[in-house]
Amino acid sequence: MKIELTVNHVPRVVEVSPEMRLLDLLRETLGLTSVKEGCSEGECGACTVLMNGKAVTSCTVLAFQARGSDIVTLEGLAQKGELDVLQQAFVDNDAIQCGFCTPGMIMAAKALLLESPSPSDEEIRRGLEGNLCRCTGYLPIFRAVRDAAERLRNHAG
Amino acid sequence: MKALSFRYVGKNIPRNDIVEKATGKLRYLADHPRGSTAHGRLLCSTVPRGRVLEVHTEEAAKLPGVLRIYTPRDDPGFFFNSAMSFPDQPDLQDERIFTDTPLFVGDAIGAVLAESDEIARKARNLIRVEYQEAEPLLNPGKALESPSFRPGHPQALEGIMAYGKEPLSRDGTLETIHTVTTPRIHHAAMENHLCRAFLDYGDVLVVESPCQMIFSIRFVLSRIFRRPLNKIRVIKAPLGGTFGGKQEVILEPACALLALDSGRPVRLVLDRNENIRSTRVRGGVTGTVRTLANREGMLLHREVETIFDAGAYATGGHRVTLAMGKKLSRLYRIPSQIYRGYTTFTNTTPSGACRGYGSPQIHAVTEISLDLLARKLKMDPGELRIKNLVYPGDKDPAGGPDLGNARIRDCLERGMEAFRWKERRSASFGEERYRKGVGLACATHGNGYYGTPYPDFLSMALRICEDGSVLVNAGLHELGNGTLTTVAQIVAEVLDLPPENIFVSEGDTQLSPFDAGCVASRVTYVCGACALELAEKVRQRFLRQMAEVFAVSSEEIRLDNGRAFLASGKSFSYGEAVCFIATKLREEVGDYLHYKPKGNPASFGAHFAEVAVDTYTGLVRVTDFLAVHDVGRAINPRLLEGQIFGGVQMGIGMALTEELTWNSRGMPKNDSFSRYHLVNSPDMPPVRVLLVEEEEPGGPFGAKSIGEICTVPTAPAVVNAVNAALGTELTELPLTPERVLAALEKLEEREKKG
Amino acid sequence: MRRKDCETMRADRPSSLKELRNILEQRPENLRFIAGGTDLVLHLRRFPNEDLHLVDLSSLEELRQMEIREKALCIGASVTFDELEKSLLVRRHASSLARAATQVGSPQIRNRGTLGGNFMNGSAAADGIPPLVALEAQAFGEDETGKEYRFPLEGLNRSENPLLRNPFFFLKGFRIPLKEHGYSDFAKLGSRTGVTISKLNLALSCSFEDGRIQNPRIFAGALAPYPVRCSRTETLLISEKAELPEFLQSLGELVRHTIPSRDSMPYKRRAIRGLGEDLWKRLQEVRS
Repeated sequence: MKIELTVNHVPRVVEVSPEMRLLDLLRETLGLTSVKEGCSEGECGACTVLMNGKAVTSCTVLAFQARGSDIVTLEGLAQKGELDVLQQAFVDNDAIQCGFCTPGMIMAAKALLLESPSPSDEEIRRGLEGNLCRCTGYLPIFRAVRDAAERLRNHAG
Repeated sequence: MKALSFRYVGKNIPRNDIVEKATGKLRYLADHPRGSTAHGRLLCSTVPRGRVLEVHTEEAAKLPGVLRIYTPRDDPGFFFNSAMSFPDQPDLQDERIFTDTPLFVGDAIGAVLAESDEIARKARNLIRVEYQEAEPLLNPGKALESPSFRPGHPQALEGIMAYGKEPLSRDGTLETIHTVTTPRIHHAAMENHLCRAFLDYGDVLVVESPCQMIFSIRFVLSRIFRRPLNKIRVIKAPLGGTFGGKQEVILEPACALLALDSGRPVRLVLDRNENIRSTRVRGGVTGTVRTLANREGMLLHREVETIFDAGAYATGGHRVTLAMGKKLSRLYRIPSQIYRGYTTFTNTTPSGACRGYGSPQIHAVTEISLDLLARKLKMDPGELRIKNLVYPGDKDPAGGPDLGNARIRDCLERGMEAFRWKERRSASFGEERYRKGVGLACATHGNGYYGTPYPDFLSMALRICEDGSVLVNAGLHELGNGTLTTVAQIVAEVLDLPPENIFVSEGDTQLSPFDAGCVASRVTYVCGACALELAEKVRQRFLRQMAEVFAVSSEEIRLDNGRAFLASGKSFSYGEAVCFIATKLREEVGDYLHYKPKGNPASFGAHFAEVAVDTYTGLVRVTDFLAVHDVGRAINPRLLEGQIFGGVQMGIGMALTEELTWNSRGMPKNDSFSRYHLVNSPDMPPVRVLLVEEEEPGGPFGAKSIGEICTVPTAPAVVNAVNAALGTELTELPLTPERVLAALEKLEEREKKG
Repeated sequence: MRRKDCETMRADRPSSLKELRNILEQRPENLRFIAGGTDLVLHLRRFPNEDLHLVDLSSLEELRQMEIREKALCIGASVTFDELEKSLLVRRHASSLARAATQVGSPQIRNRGTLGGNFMNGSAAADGIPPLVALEAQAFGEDETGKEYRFPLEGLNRSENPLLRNPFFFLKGFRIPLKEHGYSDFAKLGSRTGVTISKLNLALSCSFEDGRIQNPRIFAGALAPYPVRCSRTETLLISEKAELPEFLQSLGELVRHTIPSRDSMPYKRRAIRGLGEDLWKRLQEVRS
């Protein structure tokens, strides 16, 4: 079946089978390999993408359910080769080690900041509770999100 | 080397691949385009012990897109051990690629190869296997006494370490006996195991794997497939975490078999639940400690007995038992000790390398027991340790390598002060429901293989290119731990040019010089030292060559930030100089170095934890944490700190929430993240890090390891804190809410009676 | 149900109830409704050869409404936990439900998981159900003939309810009767702070009159297949003489009585006191 959706700000028409997951559509059909598969059951968050501005685990969404949606992956963040504020903050705060959880983590953080531009520490922890990391102990990631939030506020204000 | 100020060493240089990772551009093995790759999925046993009678593949074979279905009949019949790296190693070889006598749920009995992963999984689901089942052996204590389920192999292996003599007189002494159990742990790297293999030009079997020991993979494959080592090319693929889980040779043999048989490039992958069931786990330990001390707190004698559950196959299980024993004599000055370590086998997922390789387990056993001894002596646990910790320069009474510049006392003392230990310890915490407590633990770990039965050596090549950029060719493995960045920083410091100009390669057995692997905490101390010495060698060579070309004496040449300055005032970029040397001398600016370490000093750490226990629900939260580490020198403080944060996350999991369990029928009970809980973001405490940098001779710029030791003292520190908060004697890890409440109930009953 | 060569899986994503009714009129074989999706997607992964006709309910705007109608708060079956958590209506009139929603899974799960899905999955640990039961909620839905049904959640026996066993029955939403001076609360016990299945939960609903508690309804979830009423605890709450220790004791007794031979009983019997105390303390704060 053909479905229409927007992926990284570009309208797409793609062929999907009923049982295909959004994860498979993004990785295999569209080649957006930043979206990682870590657990296949929505627990690790590595496959997190934005769906209509909200964080979802693409391994638990069927592709056909995304018809008409606006999907953003990590590839859709950096504009014209420059890093997005969050990406830069992750780099500057060493919030990345093996990097496998990173795309999902950044997208979850993006969703958080879209909703709460000035999140408290507790809100940051809660916003990322669906994303597992085994390398960094999360602390540099919290730092990066705080940092990005501040930079965005300064830029806006 | 005592330099007053470094340009790159000690600086927070960004990781070499951090931008690629932040943009998602870095391709892990699973991210490569499919092309003509065929897809493999393992067929695994659903019984914990038995015999495969029949594999019904007719229906599966009918599915369009299925290329071949493999069963136990396709096994080459060669027994190997996935932890071996050289032919002379005595490990029991009891593994096969596809077995017809599965020994645990998850044991590979075959595979499906298809045009797509979807078809492979669908076909696999259509296969019906008939088993003849046998009663599984699940309890390690019972397993020790039971007949072996691996014919021709013993059911128990023993390792002994002993030195000194137990004092005969008991006057003025105190004795304690405790038994501590540690859980079986899933490494939980976010990237699941996978592998790719294909036959290449020159009849070379190419295997791409996110791994830690390319040369071990090559060795095992050459044995199984009877290929010369130079016809097997193992390439280290970018890796999404390992923590020891990808250290052993697990998927590569099956992947190679499928590739050799089909003639197609093959990708073999595991899902998370398969990963938890079918790869490796951190082995669980039951340890009993008997300690003899005098009333002043001096440790006189210690006896430790451990039972290590190695799971269904030998793999590296017994090595862990032996490694545990080796740590006992390197943390405290104890005049005599006896260690008896037993490795036994159960019909569960095999144990393998896991961060710390036995250190987390043995330290949990001894450090929790030590705290309870302190309680009996009515002595502060920190004070008790200070009385007994080793001193810099101490020897290992068990015959291991010298400890080197052992700075654990500094760690403990500085840590106690920074954590306000005495104040927090004596403050009366909490109201009735919520109780707070603080605990600490000390630990030691090594720096490589020197002094063990395993050879530790490597070679490296380094050259400066015609534009001044540098290539370092070494068999290294970047695990996300900063291997490549650290080596680049060391080379940058010596050659005096920015680390961004230095490319450090990862391992490729066809092209890289030999390296024992990114294991055993050897990379900074051994590979880093090799890089340093090689860079020095190239620097000297470069100066000599420039002296010849520019007709000056080499002492007159000053190197500064990629430029060579002559006394005359003229200067040349490194690139220009290299070109002159090429045309005038017809020589390369580069060299090769063979390196082997001459020591294996100890790294140390002291962890401090504050916990809050909800005595109604049994839930424990770590509310504050301090990690103090003796690192010799921090080549990159932020990378180092990152390792420590990760290690603490892992250790807290071991203390409170992580435990792999099997039911009475040998079925894994929690082979998914919904039931196997890592510490997630809400539960990660703030962690402060203090580094003791007193330089370790033999290490590059005095540096030594952090990668494994950072997760070693964590669990006992947390458990000690809980025991302090509640007055309990919890010794069964993890401290689940159920265990905490049960211990509280027992305490209440005892108080009622007494 | 295994796939034959000629059959393929099918999927529909109706954008209106009318479209949905048209689909159901056909009585499609092997129909499975999907909304938040997690359980079904996992099922498909484990059984890749199944042949199902998937119908996505998450796209039906008509099932995503939250509004006051006929003195009741009506919540559509496809409302997500994230929407429940943030809705001022829900926080005002069914705060226990909002509180339960904040503790379901992770943000990713809350963004997709629906209250209807939570109910239809029938898990004993479903966090949305005890608050609904305590609030005297009714569920309403439709079958393939277009007939509408309404039934109370309390005392619901799933295995014997013909509606719930009809694969064409779809839930439209829940009705929560409004109470004057109503108060509700919820507490959950998991194995950690966040992203955990309930081991035990408590839902409370009552109203106040002249500062006194009226009609307390307390239900314990995750203990049995359906929420268990804590009648003795309710009685204690009304009686002015009751103090916290007795309140907690009665909850422990309830656990012992409900699951006497379960392995987890000794733990849950003690641990429920934690939930009870949280509810009690918050209740006292509101009263003062």
